[in-house]
Amino acid sequence: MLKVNNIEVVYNEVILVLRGVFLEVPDGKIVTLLGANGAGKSTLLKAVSGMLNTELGEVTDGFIEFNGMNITNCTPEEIVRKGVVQVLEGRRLFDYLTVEQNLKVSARARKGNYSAKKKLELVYELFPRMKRLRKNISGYCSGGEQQMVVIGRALMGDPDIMLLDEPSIGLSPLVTEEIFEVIKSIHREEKIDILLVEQNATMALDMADYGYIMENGRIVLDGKAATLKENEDIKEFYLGLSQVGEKKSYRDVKHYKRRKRWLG
Amino acid sequence: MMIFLETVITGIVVGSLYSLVALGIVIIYKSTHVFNFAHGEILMLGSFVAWTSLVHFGIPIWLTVPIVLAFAILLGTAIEYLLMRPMVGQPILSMIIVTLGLGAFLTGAGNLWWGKEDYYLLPEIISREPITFAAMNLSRQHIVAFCLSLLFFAVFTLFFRYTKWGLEMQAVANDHQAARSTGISTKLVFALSWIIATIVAIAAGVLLGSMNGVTLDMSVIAIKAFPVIILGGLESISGVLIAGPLVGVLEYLAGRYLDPYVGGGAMDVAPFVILILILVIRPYGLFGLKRIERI
Repeated sequence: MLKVNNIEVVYNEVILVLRGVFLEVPDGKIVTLLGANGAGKSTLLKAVSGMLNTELGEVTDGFIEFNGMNITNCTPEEIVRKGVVQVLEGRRLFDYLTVEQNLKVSARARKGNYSAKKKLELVYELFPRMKRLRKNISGYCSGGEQQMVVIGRALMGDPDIMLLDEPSIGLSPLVTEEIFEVIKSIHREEKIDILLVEQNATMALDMADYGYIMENGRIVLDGKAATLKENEDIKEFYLGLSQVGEKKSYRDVKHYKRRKRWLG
Repeated sequence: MMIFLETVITGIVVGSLYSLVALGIVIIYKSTHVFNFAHGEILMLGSFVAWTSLVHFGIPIWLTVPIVLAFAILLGTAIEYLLMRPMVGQPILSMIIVTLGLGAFLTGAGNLWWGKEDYYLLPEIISREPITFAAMNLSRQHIVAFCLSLLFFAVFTLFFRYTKWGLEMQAVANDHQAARSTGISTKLVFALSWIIATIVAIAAGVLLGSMNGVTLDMSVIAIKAFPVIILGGLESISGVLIAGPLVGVLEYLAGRYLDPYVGGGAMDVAPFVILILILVIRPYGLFGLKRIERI
């Protein structure tokens, strides 16, 4: 169980990026985090995984807890060993290494019975295509393949929870669907909890159990994924649906008012 | 013909010493993408430590080796802790500039303790008597350098390709942030690569010192290693192994056949002519990685 309690993140000791952010990923659940660009979703993930401190960011208030352990401002290598692995945005592979080397280098023994070989087999089982590509230089793989390698790499760390930052970025709808299927099966078969940041709100809400909406460094709305999908605001701003047949106009004050309430 | 052959062979063995020096720079570059401009100074300082232990304190050689090793570990760790760790996540160029500063600092430190005399003679670890092979005279030190560079080449090629540490080093070089996100300890990798490079540097330094004596300006050999590194490709160990002798041969051939016409100095200029040509024609060297770019 991952618990983010009222954290505040400051960059460069002056820029306040997140304030009073709370979030929970209960065991056995998929939770999604939605929001516009610059809302602070990636910053939140980096705060959890400890990646903030190389970017001059710091959690200055509140705490982050994982399975009862306080992981606030720990280093990424400590946090990975506690079972939290982040998949960074934008498919950050080790381009010059082969696919298999990418996976092998990410193997982390967390429990006594861990075997890197078995883990590798498991990853190949989940992604049969990767087994065929294993001798290829990963930098030359296609976007979808690279995303799979990155997810496979995270799996090699033997995590309890995976933080995924926009796994569908720059991928075709078909490949996106494939990636989401894999994430679902990882969740189901490997019992790994998922915290998913996505721009593709429809797919994310379809998959998730619970959702949070972020705006301007704050959580503005949260609820069961099914409830969120029915929410009028979400429909309009994230799912791209508005009342059918009605023309939208900038004179429409209602739009403005609704938006205003969110920013409170 | 005999002269030509002797020139070539001398070039090969002298060049393998360049390979050895270049190897240390390549190891750091391969694992951190930092070009270490302080390599020559590290080599110089390590040689002085070896001299102090062997000559000044008269410690036998079997005890000097662990002392020098301990010094290498200490220096490598200190560089990582004091200079590189605060720079993690910063632009690579800043780290490279830091190594320039380190070089200047180490020169100063060397001057402080060993500035009194022009050069310090190491005892004959390897006999200075040249070997006569097929009517050619070859220095034993150069042959040892040749064998040592072959050995190091084999060891480090296997190390980078198959061991977890070697792979981790390459991963860190590739992408610091991504490496950290998978739980690789960048601190450990940085410290390790600086320690290994320091050991290699000192090995080369002691060999060099046993030929020409240990001097403060022996660090200029690192500048001679630059053409070798550029020719071989920045992150290629095999490239350095081949490029060293290649540069050595060209250097000695230029010295033998061009010097009479230009009145000397061709030997020193030749490697840098190669350097410029390579940078123009093949910027990634003979065996370097071509940048992977997705369009």
